[in-house]
Amino acid sequence: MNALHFLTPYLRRYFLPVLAGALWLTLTNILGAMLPWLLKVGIDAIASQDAQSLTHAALGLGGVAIVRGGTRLLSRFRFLHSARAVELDLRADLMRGLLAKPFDFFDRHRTGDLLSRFTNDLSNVRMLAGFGVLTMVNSLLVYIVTLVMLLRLSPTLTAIALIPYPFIFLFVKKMSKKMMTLTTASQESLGRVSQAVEETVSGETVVRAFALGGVRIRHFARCNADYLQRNLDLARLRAFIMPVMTIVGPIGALLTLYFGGKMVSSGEFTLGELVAFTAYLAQLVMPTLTLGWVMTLMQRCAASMERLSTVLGGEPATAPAPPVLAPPAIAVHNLNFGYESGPEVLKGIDLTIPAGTVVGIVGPTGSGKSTLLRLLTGLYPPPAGTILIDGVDLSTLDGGEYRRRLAVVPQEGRLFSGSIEENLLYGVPGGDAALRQRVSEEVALSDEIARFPQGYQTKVGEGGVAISGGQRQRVCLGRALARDGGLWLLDDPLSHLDAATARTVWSALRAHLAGRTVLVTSSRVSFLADVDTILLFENGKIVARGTHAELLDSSPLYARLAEQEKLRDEVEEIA
Amino acid sequence: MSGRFHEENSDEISGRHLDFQLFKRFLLAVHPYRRTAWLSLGMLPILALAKLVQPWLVKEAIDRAILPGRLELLGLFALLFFVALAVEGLLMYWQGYQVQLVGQRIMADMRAAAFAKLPRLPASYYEKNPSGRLVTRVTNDVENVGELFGSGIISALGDIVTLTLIIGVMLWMNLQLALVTFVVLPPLFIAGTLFRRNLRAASRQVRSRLAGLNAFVAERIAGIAEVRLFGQERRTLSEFEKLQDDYCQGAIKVINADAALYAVVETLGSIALAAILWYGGGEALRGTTSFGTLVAFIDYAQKFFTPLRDLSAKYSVIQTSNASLERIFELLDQPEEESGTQSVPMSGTLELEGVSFSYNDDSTPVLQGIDLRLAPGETIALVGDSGSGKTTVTRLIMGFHLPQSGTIRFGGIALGDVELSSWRQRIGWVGQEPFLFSGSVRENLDPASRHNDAELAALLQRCGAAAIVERLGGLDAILSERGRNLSSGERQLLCLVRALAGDPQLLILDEATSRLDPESEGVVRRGLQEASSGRAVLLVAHRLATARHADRIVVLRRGRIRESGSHSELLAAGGLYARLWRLQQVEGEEETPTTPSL
Repeated sequence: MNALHFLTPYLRRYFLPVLAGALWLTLTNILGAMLPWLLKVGIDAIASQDAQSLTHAALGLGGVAIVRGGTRLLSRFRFLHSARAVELDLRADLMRGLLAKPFDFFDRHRTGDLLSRFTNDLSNVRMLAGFGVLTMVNSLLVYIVTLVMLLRLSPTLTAIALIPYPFIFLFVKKMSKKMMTLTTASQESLGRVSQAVEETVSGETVVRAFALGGVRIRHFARCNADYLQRNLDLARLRAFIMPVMTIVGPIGALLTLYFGGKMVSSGEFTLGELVAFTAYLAQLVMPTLTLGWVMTLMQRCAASMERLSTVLGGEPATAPAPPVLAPPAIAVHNLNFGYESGPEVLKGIDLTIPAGTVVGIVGPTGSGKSTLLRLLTGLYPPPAGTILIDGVDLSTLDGGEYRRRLAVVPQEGRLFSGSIEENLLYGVPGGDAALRQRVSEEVALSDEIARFPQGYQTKVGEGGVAISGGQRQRVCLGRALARDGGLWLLDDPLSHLDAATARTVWSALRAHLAGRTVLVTSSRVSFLADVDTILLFENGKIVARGTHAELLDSSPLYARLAEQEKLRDEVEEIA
Repeated sequence: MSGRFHEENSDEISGRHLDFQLFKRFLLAVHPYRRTAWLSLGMLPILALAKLVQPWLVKEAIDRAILPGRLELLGLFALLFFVALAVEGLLMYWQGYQVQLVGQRIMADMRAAAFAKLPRLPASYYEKNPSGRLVTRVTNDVENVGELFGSGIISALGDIVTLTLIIGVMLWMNLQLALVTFVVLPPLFIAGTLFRRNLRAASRQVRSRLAGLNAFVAERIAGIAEVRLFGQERRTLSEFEKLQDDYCQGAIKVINADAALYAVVETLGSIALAAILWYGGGEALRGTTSFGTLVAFIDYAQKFFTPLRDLSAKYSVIQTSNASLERIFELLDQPEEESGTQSVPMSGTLELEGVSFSYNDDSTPVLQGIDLRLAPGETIALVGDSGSGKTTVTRLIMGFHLPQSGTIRFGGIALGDVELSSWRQRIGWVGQEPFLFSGSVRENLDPASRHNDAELAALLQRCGAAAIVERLGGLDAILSERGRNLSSGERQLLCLVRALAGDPQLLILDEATSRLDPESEGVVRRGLQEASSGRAVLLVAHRLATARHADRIVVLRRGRIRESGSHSELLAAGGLYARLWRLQQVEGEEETPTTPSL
């Protein structure tokens, strides 16, 4: 992928500032070209004993220097500010793209991998958009302006003095390729070093239990030695490139001194011209060297842009409209479903849930309970025609619009770092103190919150680590209560609560859920005693359905689950 | 991942500049390479001289050859110039490489030292510190420090030497002209100090805001389901943009300060040029200064300002390195695991007497008053629900922690007095998480290289793992990271082989067969039965069927021993074990004890 092509739409938005930057830069370089010229005027003035011209030249030099400082500043501001703006736009577009990606995108990409696009890849692109573009434009301008001046002074001397430059250019190109190869090798070696460290840290218990410290250290020593060797290879190349690059300029100066010196002696060139010529030549050095750097940068960027473009694109759902509280009727017809290339998790599910009923779902771990709820959230597209919401195929509904009807409590709900209040009101950003108080009372959390020194402003930490599992689960419940919706999907919402608290919360919740369509899974059968229907899942199929009492009679599996729970409670009480 | 960003966030804020104590300690790391370091340091003035003699040669060429028209001398000066250039190039190559060599070797040493520290840290250190942080120390932080020697110290010293020499040469060539040129130095110094201070604060702010921004992204990626379910996409985007704005404001400050510094240095350089032309030109006009001197001065002035332009970049290198250096030394200074010195008796009984333990001294104890005796040839099963302290017992026996009260003895010697690594070599342990290293099967199964192929093959056969190794391609086949090319049951089987390969006196199996399918569990149990003869075995089991044939079953509950006895005794007693047994009977019909016993 062409790196500049990718950047064009972004740079185009800042066309005017970039153009202004380019104009300021042109001015800067023209002023820069005046400096050696004024030097020449001054030196020639000395030769011709013209004190007035000398003063003028010196004053001119100072004046031009100051003006040039100003234009330099303006050109850098324009370019680098635009580059920042491009970076911000690109990052915002990345976030936008991320929020619009289909849900399974996040199953396919690891968090760290996605995150590195926001960090490493983006910073590569920023470098190119900023210093990269600046350097390219600058080099081009310097070359044009300087060449004109050199040729004006002496075409012959120009031809001689520029002899090293094509070689240098080729050298830089060749070396940057070699550099890339060596850098890649060194990076790979670093990867092995990191892996050795990472394994030793995460396998710490194994290392300790088997007294493997020595073995691991020997293994690491090999990785470390290899990495050292590769870095030294790289260092040797760098050490070689540096002097070659530093000497280019002086070689040109040497040629100028020798051939130009002869010309001065013979009177066809003034000393001032010689000095000016050398100064112009010196201006060519930096752009030549940095051009090589830009070329490497562009190669590196191409890979980064490839990675960025997988995230870019799409528009996230529009602003959340108020929730829809009307309970939907749900029908599921012959639903088969498996996650990407995995085995089928749901097999031939058929069910009808009238609007406003409460359905309990039980079954052993891995029987498909959570998957059914997850499909009903619309995050994963269900197969067409298998799930109907109020008679409309879920796969044809707009996800954002559909989710206005939902209140969801996921199995291991995640909180965002921030306060308890922010998390409780996550779905209702404008919610008031009365709302947060009401929901926290309903989930039996208000007393505990009142005991926190900072109350509702207590920080929950990243992912909610700063509060207990039971508190976290109740914040998740409260968050759904504050948001509310016509269709409630609760995935084992009380698993982290002790039996007494769970019962309190459940009965408060039951009252609130009257008139909503509710699907609730539970590892505790006893809570489902009062729901309208219970579905018993096993191996992705519904193996029995009915009320608590009916299932106790008719299904041995259900009876066993109930018995298990009773025994577990008994054991629990022994303590 | 996001934890790392938070951590870096806090690091940025504490990042400080050169600290003498830190620097002194860093010099100790340079010590083994002091000869090369001194040599490359000694090269600096020679290198600077080779560079600075060039403008002087130009001066001489102008004054002695070009202006008087003595062209035969011009060739000589050109040759001398070329020699100076060649010397500069060669020295630069040599010195550049030596500096890198020292820097890289220091890095390799530091990595090795930091890595060697890892196995010596006490187990409690790993419980308290996120693993990502340790990995960062040994990798990223060491990388940062590598820059300190080359791009930091040596290059800064090189600049200082060059600048000093230029000042010296200019003063020597023409005192007055030199002083006129140096008129620009005070404003340069003031500007530099001013910008540097601004730049430092601003760039620290930018880094911490960027870290915050990335932490935000990380959290939203992890919680993407919540964002969707609550329809908060737009809000997330606007929060993100708010954070971006904050970041941008800081970033613009850095850009402006950087651009301003660049422009100021460049402008002052040109003003110095104007001053030289004005004053020096006047002198030349009067004939008190030669043309050559004037030209050389112009050249020197340019050489003077070039290193000053990227001074801020060098400063930030040193700053980052220092923060990293501090963190590496902090790791190296961590107290190590304490071990006794007594050798382990050849055989003996393991005894736990009144052992109480808690992970944090103030929290509720995980184990209380545990008494246990395990004689050679005996098998004890520890059962109990999760959180009852079973695994903690195994960790105490392996000497990962010392109990707060009570003692653990083997053959009459307290574990606190025993040389821990040799004690651990007597133990074969299989943990709940079957962890394998990347590398060959052989390296994993027999890390200490005790066995030949035939012995390993026999062992694999006995444990029923021969087929797995064959499928992988033999003992030298490579396991991918964490053994991802194996199922968790297969990994567990290989972990078992690894435990037995050490020919241990005590076998600790912590849920060692939990991930096996019933068929391979049967195979493993037969293997274990054979292997356990003459060995003491401590079996930790959640599934009681695994435990029922042990000589003695110890039931743990909330850190205390509730019951102890054989399966039939405990069933007859009708206590906790009996109820747990009934519960598990109900839970899974496939759990009925038809599998061969241990």
